[in-house]
Amino acid sequence: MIGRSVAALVLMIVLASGTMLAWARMPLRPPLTAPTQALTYVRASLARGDLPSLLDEARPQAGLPVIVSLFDHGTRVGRGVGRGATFGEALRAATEGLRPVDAALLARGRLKLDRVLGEGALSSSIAPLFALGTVPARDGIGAEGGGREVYFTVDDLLRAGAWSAYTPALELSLGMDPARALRMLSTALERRPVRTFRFRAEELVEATPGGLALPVMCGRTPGPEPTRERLLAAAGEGGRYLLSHLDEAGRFDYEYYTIEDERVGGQTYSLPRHAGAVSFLAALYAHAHDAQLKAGMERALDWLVRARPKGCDGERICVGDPALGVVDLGSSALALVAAAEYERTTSDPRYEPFVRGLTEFVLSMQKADGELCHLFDPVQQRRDEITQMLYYSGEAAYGLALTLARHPDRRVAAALDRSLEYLTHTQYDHLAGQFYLGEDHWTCMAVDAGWDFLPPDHRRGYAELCEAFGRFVRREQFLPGESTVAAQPQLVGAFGLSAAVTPRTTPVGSRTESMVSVWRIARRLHDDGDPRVVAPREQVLQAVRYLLAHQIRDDGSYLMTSAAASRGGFLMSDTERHIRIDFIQHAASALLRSVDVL
Amino acid sequence: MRARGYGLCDVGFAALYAYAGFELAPSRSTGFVIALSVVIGLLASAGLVLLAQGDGGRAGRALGVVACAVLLAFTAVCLVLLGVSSAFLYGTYGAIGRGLGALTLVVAALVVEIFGLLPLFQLRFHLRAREPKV
Repeated sequence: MIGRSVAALVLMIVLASGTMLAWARMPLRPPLTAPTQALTYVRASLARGDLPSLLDEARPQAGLPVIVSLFDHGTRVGRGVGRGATFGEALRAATEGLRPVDAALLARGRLKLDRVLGEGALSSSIAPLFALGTVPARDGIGAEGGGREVYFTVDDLLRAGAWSAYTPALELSLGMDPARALRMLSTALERRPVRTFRFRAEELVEATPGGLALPVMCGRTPGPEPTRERLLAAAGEGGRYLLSHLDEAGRFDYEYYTIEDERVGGQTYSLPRHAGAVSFLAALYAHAHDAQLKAGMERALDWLVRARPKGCDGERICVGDPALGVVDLGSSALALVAAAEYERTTSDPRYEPFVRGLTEFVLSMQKADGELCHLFDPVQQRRDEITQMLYYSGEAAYGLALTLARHPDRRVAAALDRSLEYLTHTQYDHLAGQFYLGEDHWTCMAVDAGWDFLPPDHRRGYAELCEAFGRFVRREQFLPGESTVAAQPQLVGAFGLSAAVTPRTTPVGSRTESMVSVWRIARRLHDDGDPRVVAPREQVLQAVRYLLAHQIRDDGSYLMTSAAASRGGFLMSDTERHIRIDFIQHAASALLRSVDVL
Repeated sequence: MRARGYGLCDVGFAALYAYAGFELAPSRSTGFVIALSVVIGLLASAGLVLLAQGDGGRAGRALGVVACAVLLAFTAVCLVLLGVSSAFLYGTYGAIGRGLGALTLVVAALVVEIFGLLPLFQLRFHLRAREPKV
């Protein structure tokens, strides 16, 4: 009896799983042999010119559509959808669907091709299944009803902000917002869909109007392979982005929305992020002695110098929002990082009093066990001994370490050592603490920057924690050869626990900044062939490939309203298409620091 | 027959602990790694001997009792230290630590299930089996 019940249960599980697998799978047709010809063909046809030969003319298309779109300054200004038994037939039908096209628009617009490779099921009746039923930035969606079919390509969905919009739990945003997506489909069909589906397409876009066709994935064209020169150039582009978004008063456009072409200063302007962005500009100056860059960072630093609430003057200088009653350690710590980095790369002493005052403030925030207080009431001159925030202790340690390079001081070196002792040992000195690591990227950068000033017998212990941090982070990195990556190649180099959540650019940047330090620390202790040196280097190489592919370049900016305003920036993620100053700070700084690794 | 069942469980759980402790979530604490290695070694040995000897084997039973006692002690120490960890995180980091502290308690609950139940049942079996039959 029990045996039969178990057998029946196993059979049910197999049948249910098999049915779901058959429903969810999306078999794909092979890609084109000469895909770049297709857009040349379309443009020639629209311009009534001589038609080039089409190598894939007879390739079976099996009734799946070919979609041709024309983009002008990020906006889709024309679209044709064609079908046919062969690719040639479908392409011609799509081109006809795009007519008539204004000659001036065609001359300045960029053509995009979406050749549908396969369609798969997408449930519209069960919200979580719909929300998680597409691969973000890879799958389009469509619907059928009233004898018509409509298609929303990845570009349409990215511009509509359809992904990273489903929030099944607080603070967790992933997948597609079912209500918004179904509304889009119903509006396009002018009725409720009878059937919804997802599709995957082979995508190509012209790099420039009438230029070379490039493959597209996740709204991006492929990035360059990393070389020293390319990393420096990319970091320079990041710096150029920041300078072009810096106003006369020395304040950055905090966020820039690439689809809306909207600059947001905002009430949420973050002082630590402002200071972090300046620190990147200062580091960049070491590689590019550019007067405009120096002037820009001085303007941004002067803005920080002025951001001093009452009570933050004198021997101890703190930075904060004068409108708030308290200042946080992070703002002053990263201001210290920025000013110390400026001093290091320019040898200009104009901010020395600022550096010394900030250093005194950080020292005054340290507790007996090495940990630092994170909030300070400047009016009452009182530290908050209880409240703890993310990152601030590591940022302060890094600030102290950078300061030492130009202002060697035993008191500062001892404070740095106590801080690192807390960050690398004391805070993890319990059973659960032996199984995880926190956001230690600043800690390892501090160990690296302050190495020569640390007691030799303490260095190895700090280095071991950083090696462990490298291993810990490496487990989260998507690497070539993994099955997840084989199915979702856009994930290579990013960090994450699941392909369901689109990776964000900033963690790749910040972890890579730190991994460069982990690599440098390991090189001080081990041979170049040692796995402890090789592993972080490999990790950095994969991450910089990811970052280079994600930096906004003109050839991949067909979805940006203003290519000039977006150039050099980094989006929050493939599906969240805005830029914030700290995305540049971390990503471009990672590229810059990685120059030594290559 | 039941002894062989426990033997199979011992070997299986020893493999599970090795995978979880050395591969899935490795600890940076040398002391923990040594203690876990001892537990795994004892449990695997007990399992193999129980599998070989079956219900009547005295060596298997003795090894099983020792392995289970050590595993229970290991579980108890882990639970105490996880409680301490939770308190440390909660007390030190305020709002940030609250989540970590709660997570640590969830881990403690999993430790009870994964490490604590097997030795409890098995010890009961071994100790009952030692009592003379009336």
